[in-house]
Amino acid sequence: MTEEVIMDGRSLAEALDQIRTSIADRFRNATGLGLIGIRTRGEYLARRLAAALEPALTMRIAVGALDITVHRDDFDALQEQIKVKGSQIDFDPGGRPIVLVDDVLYTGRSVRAAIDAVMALGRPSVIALAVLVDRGYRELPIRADFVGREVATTREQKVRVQLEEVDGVDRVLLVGMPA
Amino acid sequence: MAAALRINPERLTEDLAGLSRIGLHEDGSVTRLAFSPAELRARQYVMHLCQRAGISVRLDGIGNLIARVEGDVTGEAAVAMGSHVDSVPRGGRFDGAMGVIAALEVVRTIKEAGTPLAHPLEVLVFVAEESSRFGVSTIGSSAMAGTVEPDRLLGLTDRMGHRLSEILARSGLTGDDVAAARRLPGEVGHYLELHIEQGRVLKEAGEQVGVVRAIAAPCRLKIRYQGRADHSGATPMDLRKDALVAAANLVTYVEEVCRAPGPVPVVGTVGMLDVRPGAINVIPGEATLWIDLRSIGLEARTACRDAVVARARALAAERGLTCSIDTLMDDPPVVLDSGTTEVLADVCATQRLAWRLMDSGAGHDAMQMAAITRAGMLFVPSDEGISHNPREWTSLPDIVAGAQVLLEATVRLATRAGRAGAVTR
Repeated sequence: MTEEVIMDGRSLAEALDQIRTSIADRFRNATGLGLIGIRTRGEYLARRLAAALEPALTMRIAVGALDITVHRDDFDALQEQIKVKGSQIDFDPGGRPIVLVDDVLYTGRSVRAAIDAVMALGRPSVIALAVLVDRGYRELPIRADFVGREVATTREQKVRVQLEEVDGVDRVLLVGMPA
Repeated sequence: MAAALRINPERLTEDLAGLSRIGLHEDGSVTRLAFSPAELRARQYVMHLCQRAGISVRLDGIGNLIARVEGDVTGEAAVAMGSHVDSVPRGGRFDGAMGVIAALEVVRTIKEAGTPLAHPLEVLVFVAEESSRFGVSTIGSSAMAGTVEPDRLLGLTDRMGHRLSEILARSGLTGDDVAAARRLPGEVGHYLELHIEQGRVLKEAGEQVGVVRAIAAPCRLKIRYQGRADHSGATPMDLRKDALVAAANLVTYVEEVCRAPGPVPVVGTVGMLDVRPGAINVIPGEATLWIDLRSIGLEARTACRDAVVARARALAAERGLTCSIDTLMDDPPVVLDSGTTEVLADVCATQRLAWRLMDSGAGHDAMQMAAITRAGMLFVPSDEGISHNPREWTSLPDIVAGAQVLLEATVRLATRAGRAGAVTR
């Protein structure tokens, strides 16, 4: 088992900056833009993006965190304890553009669950997707609108995003046998 | 040969988990109100499971799902099993859903084994068993059994003012379709329903299965007081016509009259109260309460109802209010078919289960089906007796035990040729 640092703190910051610029371009004239991060790491990425976007767009950006547990298509609702962190979205996602934010885009199943979870709360005018890393191997017809970095991987490898807020360090690791 | 049949616990669990995901909340509860998108998705999910199993499936004129496997002898009455997939708001994952999936699992097991059966088998998923939306329970099974006039069902209205007729019309269903949902005499010979107990009798006795003898059907009253909505500061106490105070008095009277000792217990609940206009500085001009009375004994229940109605009118007269009383439901308690109950009891004994004969305090689709067929019912334990709650729970071994009894009883009833046909009551 190997661990390779494929993005360090600086390239992670650059990737986020690129996403921020693209989001700002697309939603420059939008009103009520909301960023919703998929828990756990997507939430922190969403907070960082919102903080950087607010001065650029000179508007308040609503930020929320989404727990997709019960919307997952492999969720076993009959397990004795339902362990969910719960979503924290203190605004109505209806009628406004929403950017979903996640750390890694892989099969697309988490994103599908996230779309369901958001739609259960309201009817956004637009839902877009921003991811720090796109590692391929989609199992659903889902693509990201804003991508920090595309990474070539094998199925067996794992992409692990570490963030200062959770892991004490900003970097992205490729874990597993090298391709 | 029949004894060798075993239901598949993994498949049962997986399908029940799949159904549980529909309308699921983060606290583990589900909301699938009758005819809501979530309830519709749940019916579509069961339909999909039937199709996957090669079982033909259709919806009747009110939306009840009927899945059917033909028997070897033409013209024999079906042995039907089923329950419902609608729920109360934030209800449990097992109420109704467990019985539906268990019934499907029984039919799949028999079909896969190729067990020759004289009678057709059916899985029935009834719409609107819960009264949460329309204030009336077992709507789908009432339509199938023909126990309630279609026009009465079509005129039902939810709290948002949506009429059932309009809701059905959106699916292209008319009053004629609802009338056609009624099954003809002889179509269904037996109806078996596996359900969670929703009380704590089995759990406290350490028993796995209950064979139900009788169901205490509810009598439901909707009582509306109308007074005057006046300013709470400017209206002296002796000039008021406060509808809520009359309603509040009636609430305590319901408890009082049901607590009074009698030969047969009656339980009474006011679970819903609507106060209008509903402002802190306005005297309630209108108060509506929904009263639910239940007992195995019809006489005892009727006596309580009469007492409540008399007091409701007296309170209105005392306070110069108008009072309208609607009887939403007044179904007699139902004694289930003794022959079917014997078969279920014998299966429990043969399987050496810890079981008992018991009555049901809650209403079920089986009480409607009992009007047109030989109905029997099985209970499996509810942890702590909790139901209509996210903590509703029935252990998988108990579900499997109940489903296995359902399977064995179904095989016995469906093997016997002849003597099928409608029951007249």
